[in-house]
Amino acid sequence: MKICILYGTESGNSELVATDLFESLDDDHDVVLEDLADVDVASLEPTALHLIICSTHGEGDPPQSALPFLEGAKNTRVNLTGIRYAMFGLGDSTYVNYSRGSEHVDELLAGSGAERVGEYGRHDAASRDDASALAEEWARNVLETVPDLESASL
Amino acid sequence: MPDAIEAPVADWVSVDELLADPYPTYARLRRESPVAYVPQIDRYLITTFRECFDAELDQATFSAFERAERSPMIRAMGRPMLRKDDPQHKVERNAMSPALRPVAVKKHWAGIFRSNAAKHMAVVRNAGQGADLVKLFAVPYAADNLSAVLGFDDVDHTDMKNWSHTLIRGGANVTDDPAVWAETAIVCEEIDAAVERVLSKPFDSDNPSMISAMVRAGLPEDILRANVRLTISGGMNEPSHVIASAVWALSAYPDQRDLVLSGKRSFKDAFEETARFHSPIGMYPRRTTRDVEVAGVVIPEGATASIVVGSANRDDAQFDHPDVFDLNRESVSHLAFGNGTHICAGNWVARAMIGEIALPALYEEFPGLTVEDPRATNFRGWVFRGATALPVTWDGH
Repeated sequence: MKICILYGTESGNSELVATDLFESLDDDHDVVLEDLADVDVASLEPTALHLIICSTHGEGDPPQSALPFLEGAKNTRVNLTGIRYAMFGLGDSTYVNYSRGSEHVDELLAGSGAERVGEYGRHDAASRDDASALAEEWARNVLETVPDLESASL
Repeated sequence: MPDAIEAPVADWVSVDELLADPYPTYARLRRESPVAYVPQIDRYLITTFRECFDAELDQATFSAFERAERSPMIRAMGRPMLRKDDPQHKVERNAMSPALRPVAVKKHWAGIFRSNAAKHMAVVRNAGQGADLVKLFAVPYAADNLSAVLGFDDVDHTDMKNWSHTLIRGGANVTDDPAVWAETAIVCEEIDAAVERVLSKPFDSDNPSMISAMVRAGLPEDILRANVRLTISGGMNEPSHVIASAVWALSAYPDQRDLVLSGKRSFKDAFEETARFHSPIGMYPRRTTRDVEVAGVVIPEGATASIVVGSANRDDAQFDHPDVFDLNRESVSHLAFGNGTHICAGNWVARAMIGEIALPALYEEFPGLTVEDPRATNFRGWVFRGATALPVTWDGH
């Protein structure tokens, strides 16, 4: 099973969470880690599961590194039917539009025909939870809900 | 703004009282006039959490681009990114950010911070019971860490301390003391020489330091220098203050120390609560670009507004019993690092060097670490606040 961990980040927190997640999955799975800034929406693969870790900037905006991905997708209007992804958003509930940043990416993917699987994970910086630990737990649960990934890659 | 009224004048505010203990003044300001004009310092003080928070998210109205003639910081160090708005601020911040991101901290700096902690803890141990944790650990540890992140390999921590303290005095030189400007000029030359020594080495594209990151990004040298000075003025005092404040708080509130030592709360939690409780930077300025209504009163265009995060972090509208150090509070988000686009670029470095490394190392190396009489500790300052000295003891042999 191929897993693509993609992160959208502003100050680097999502990058760290994604990197920690990569290290926790790397032993048992075929995993790649990429910054959304380096990903073209048309290159998403139907045989992979995409785990997207994305923060929020300012009052609900997407983070800097997700912007080219969002722009590119808007311009190409690509059909993403058959693409599967799961979302994990980072935010701080002290802000209005808490955790909204990741939803921009979610809306774009869903609006282009991709299918979101598993729970929508969230980390709140106003809590005492460790973001990486929460993301690893979220990813384990997501992987359990996608039993057919193994065969899909054959 | 038909219903907005002129800002109340808080001429009762005493700068001496702010320096000694600003919290009673802050409490009265929040209660009576969350936005008040203070003639003694010619600034509009914003003291409540929500108003500080919202002002900082409105860069178009609360500009960081303070006029050079109103800013001793700019006179002391040139115009760093902290006194610019986006998009220019963002260009400079992005340039240095590869050195400050959490992944860089984990990969490049954590190991260096650990060995610096061990080095300076040995000095504390040699000094014995009653050693001053500020002078022998917090300051030299923060100074050496700062040198590493910047990319200096030949700067002694006593020089770094002098540079940092002098730039801070320059940045606060509102009385225009010529002696302070003279000292600042000398220190800027010394820092420039240290930067020059780094730049004259063969360029190593894998070097993780902040100076290398800024060179890679192609920042002009004058801008690079201004941001090195900014980092020196803000990258040593604040972490050293928080280290001392955290040990002080865990001594003054032994039940809270037990929560950490028993593992119910972490040293990272202790770091965040300390940053809220004793915010090392209490206030920063913004320039209003238009007449703006805040909490029902008008701040006129062209005024200097003071975002008093030291007060916002004690606002009972945001924090229950805010004047208590409490690791069990519900929301842990504070404004000690600011918020929005100017949120402290070094926040991940600070969190790691203190919450992940220094505090656990100190309590492991010195079981029973405590401040003998926390009530006797002298805290000083409101713009920058910290303990002037912190004699500590630990379980003896």
